[in-house]
Formats: sequence, C-alpha cells, structure tokens
Amino acid sequence: MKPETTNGISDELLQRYFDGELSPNERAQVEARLDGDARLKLDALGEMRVLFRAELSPETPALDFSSTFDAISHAPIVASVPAARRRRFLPMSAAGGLMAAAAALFLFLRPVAPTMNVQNAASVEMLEAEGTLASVFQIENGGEHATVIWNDATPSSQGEVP
Amino acid sequence: VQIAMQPRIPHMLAPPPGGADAAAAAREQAREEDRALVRRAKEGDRAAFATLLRRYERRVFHVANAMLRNADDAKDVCQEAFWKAHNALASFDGNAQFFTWMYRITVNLSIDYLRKRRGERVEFDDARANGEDGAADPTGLSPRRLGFDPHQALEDVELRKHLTAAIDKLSPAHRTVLVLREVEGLAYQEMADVVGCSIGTIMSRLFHARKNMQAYLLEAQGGGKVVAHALADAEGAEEGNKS
Repeated sequence: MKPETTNGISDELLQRYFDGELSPNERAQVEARLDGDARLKLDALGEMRVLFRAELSPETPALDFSSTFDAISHAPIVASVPAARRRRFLPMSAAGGLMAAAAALFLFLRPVAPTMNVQNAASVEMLEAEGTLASVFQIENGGEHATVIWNDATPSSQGEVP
Repeated sequence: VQIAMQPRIPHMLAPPPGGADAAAAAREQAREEDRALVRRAKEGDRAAFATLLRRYERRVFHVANAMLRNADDAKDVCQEAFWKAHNALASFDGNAQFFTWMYRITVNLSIDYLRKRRGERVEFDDARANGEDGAADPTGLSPRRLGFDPHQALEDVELRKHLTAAIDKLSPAHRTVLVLREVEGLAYQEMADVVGCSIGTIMSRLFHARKNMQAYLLEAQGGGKVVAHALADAEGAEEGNKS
C-alpha cells in the first residue's frame, strides 16, 4: 500500500478507520487529525460503499433449497476426508509389479547346492516401447544367467491420474 | 431450486437494533449455537447439519450472487457448496467459525465459476490482480466524490451502467474482498479466514480494489485522467505491505 498521508494520517490508517478496525485510542487520534482532505476521502469511500451495496445486494430472493437439504439429510455423514487428492490406485499395475518382484526374488534367492561357488546378482530395468511398459530382470546365479521380461499394463490402460 | 424475487429489503447500512453491544452478543450466541450444531452433525445428526445449512443459505447465496452477478449461477454454486460442506464436515475444525468456512467454500467455488466463464486462469496474485483490473491506479485514495444522490443511485441508468462495467472489470481477488467487506460486512480477520491469507493482504487488496473502483467511476463520469497514475508503483507497494 502506498504510504500516502493526509495531515499525518496514512491512507492505510484512514481505510482502517473507515472500516471500524481501529482501537478506541487509535480512533480518537485519527479523529483529532481529520482535516478537509481526509474527510473528503472518507466521503468518497462511503459513496463507494453505498453504490457497491446497492448494486450487489439489490434484491432478496426467496430461496428454496429444500430438495438439496432433503437429499443431504438422507446422505450419510462422511466420516473422514482424505487430506489431499491421491493418485488413483492402479490395481493391474500394482499386481503386475508385485508378481514381477516376487519372480525376481524367487530366482535370486532360490537355494543352490552348498558346494557351488555362487555369485548372485540381479538388475532391473524399465523399458518402454510403443506405449508399453516392461520390466527386464537380469539374474546372474553362479554362472547361470536368466532374463525375465515382465510386461506392465500400457499407460492408456491405467486410467487418467488426477 | 426455485428463486422468486421479493421486494427490496431496507438498506444494509442501517445499524442493528440495540446497538453494537447487542449485535456482538447476538453474534456470540449464534457462534455458540453453530458450534453445538456442528458437534451434533459430526456425531451423525443429519437434522443438525440441515439446520446449519438453512441458517446460512441466504448469506451463502448473497456471497455467490455478489461474486457471480447471476442468480442461476449463484444457485448452482450454493448447491455445490452445501454438498461440499457435507462431504468435508469431518475435516472442519469445530473451533473455527462455521460461516467463515462456508464462505470460504462458496468463494472458492465462485472463483472457479468466474474462471470458467472467463475462460482463463485466475490467480490470487496481488500484483497480477492489480494489473488484471486494468484500471488507471491512483497513488492514494481519491478525495474526489462522484457526487450522486445515494437515494437516487439505482435510478441513475448511466451510473449503474458504469458501476456494472467497473465491477465486471475487477479481478476475482478484488471482487472477493469488496463483496466480503462492503456487502457482507465482515471484519478483516474474518475476511482473512475466508480467503486464507493475512490481514495485511486483505487490507492491501481492499485498498487497491477501492482505488480501482474509484478510478473507473471517476473516469467514466468524465473525470478523464485526473486519477490516473503509474500502476507499477502501486503493484510494488502492495507486495511490500503484506504482513
């Protein structure tokens, strides 16, 4: 707000005075210093208020929201509301991911002969080709090598995420 | 929903019967009743919730109608606001004021409506809102009066035309504070609760909204550019005065 003053009264103070937002003490101080210009500004603000109220609350309609209230009163009160909008749960994608992880875990951790010199390793890569997502699991197990490619759902089948 | 227009009510500027103390006591009693109704509604008392909504249906409609300036749109917003309140009741803080919460829902829905109507993105950016109004922005409050007869204001076709145009030009942020203050008579703190910002921001928005309205009307009335000053200063000042 611009620190414009009229006889030591800033416009901000004048506005708060006009809106009845000053303490009695502040109010008395402002009133003691109100001069012609400040009074004109107050008059102009009052004029605006009259106009604004007249224009924006000209008629009092008779409202009938009884059908809405009736519907609401028959609806169960919602017990809790999520704090924020969450991503939509994607059952297909989640199930696919879980199964892929389980398969990789099984291959990686399966028991091997104790006499073998085992060096296990695994890596997972995500690929996307022509709109299809796939997880590629590379599993090394004591010289053996296995590749598991798991086709995830396509993005279009996952629905729109809000 | 049926809306039938009734005769114009007496002016809202009239002081409440019994004076300020009586009005304050009535407000406190209303708050206490609201709190009790909210408590019961949260416990599953549907009648209590319907009573709460009925208490505020008119005020909610006034806010929506003043924001949108279209009774049908306001009616739609009211219905949506009531359902939204119903669905979000569990998250409502029982110590807060129910009506400011309802106003908040209504104002936000109204702004969404305005946004759709204007087909553009609307933001609560004060600097942007200042420029959005597009009015010549004086550096301070104008000491110039429009000089109309308050009792004849609504019969003055030209004045109403200018007034309508000026209100339509206001940014949603500025329109919101003017509606809450001038039409609903909310205190700064209540306005801040509704809008979800600081009192400093409310004062700043109110100040610029009033200045812009004055500028439009004075210019429209033939005042030319007497109130026209650089907008850039005001934008910077508005940002700097938020608390």
